[in-house]
Amino acid sequence: MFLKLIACEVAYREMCYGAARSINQIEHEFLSQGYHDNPDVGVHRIQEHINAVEADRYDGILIGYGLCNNMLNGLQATHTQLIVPRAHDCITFFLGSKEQYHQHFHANPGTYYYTSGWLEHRKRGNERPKRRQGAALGGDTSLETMIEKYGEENAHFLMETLWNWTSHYSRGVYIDFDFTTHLPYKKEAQEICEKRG
Amino acid sequence: MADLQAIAENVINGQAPAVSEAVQKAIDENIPVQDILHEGLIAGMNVVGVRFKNNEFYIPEVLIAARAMKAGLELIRPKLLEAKIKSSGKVCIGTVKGDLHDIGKNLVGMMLEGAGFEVVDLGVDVAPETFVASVREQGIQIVCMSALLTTTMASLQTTVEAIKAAGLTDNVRVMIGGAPITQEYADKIGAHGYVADAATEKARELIAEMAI
Repeated sequence: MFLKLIACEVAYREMCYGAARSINQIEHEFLSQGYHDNPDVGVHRIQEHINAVEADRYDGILIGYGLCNNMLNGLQATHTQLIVPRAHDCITFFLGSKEQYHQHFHANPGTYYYTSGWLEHRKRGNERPKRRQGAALGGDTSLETMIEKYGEENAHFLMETLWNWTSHYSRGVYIDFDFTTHLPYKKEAQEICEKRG
Repeated sequence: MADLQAIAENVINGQAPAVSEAVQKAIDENIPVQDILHEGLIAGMNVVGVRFKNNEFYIPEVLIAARAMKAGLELIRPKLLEAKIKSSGKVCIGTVKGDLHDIGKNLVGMMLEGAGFEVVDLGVDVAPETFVASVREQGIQIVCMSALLTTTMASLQTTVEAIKAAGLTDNVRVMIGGAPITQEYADKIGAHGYVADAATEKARELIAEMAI
């Protein structure tokens, strides 16, 4: 089969590895990981790329996304069938199956997952729409700006409150593959974990 | 003369020390504690709620206002208990089993406190049986729970079912929230309330509904 892949750049290396080993021919396009923070923008961008696919050229369009906070809700196939994985998010892909993810997730809810794609996607410089989600509602503002806006005492309180979510993560897992061991990211993940305690 | 308007203004502007000072002054001048609460603190938080809904205020503004409100509330709490002033309602709140994302939960908790509700914070990763025990043992009228991930959304349903199985549905209302939640989902699992924001209005509605 000749397939089109529209996927999140966070899974760039894993998808390319899969495509290289597939019996099918896969033509790929990778979109910004930044849509994770704003699924409303993300779903539009993915739809734009689906719409731009040439009719009668491919046997199917592979969507390289999980449900990703309902980002796939409302996507429409215009002329070519969409093939969508049943996964909550990309960690399902990296761990191999939704059963594996379910098991790991519930055994250790406080786990923050790292992969090569997670640690390198920012270097690709793709579009990053303004964040909509909880963790960053004001939390990506610097302490200096906060102090200027809300006063010293309030600023410290805000930083502590808005970043408190990270304290619930007590374990970091780096998902490595044979084809990513040569990268420096395992060490980088370790350093981040040490820094965050 | 104590200035209740100033208390409200300082709550709106998130000035905790100024709120404490003004509330203490009002207490010293024997202003009725319910006036301090309703015309000062809650009046201020009501404005904050409206501004948040209208996108004039964002999360940081709401957080510092709620903090200022709380500073004032702590000062009058003993007097409220003494005067046996009833709260707007008693709620418990937590993120569901498996979910550790609590910014939204904390914010809703603070807003509810700001609206005069008594809030029992059950924290994060709360098991269905913990919610059930809280309803049973603490006289909870509304259970508020949230899930940020689609992975943990199912725990909302499990908890609603546990409340049902415990035979507590007549005594309690359930409010749910979180980024992936929709009204459709709330209806599907049998939750009584869902709001994207402005949880306090919904909580008041539910309490009023229970009183009928």
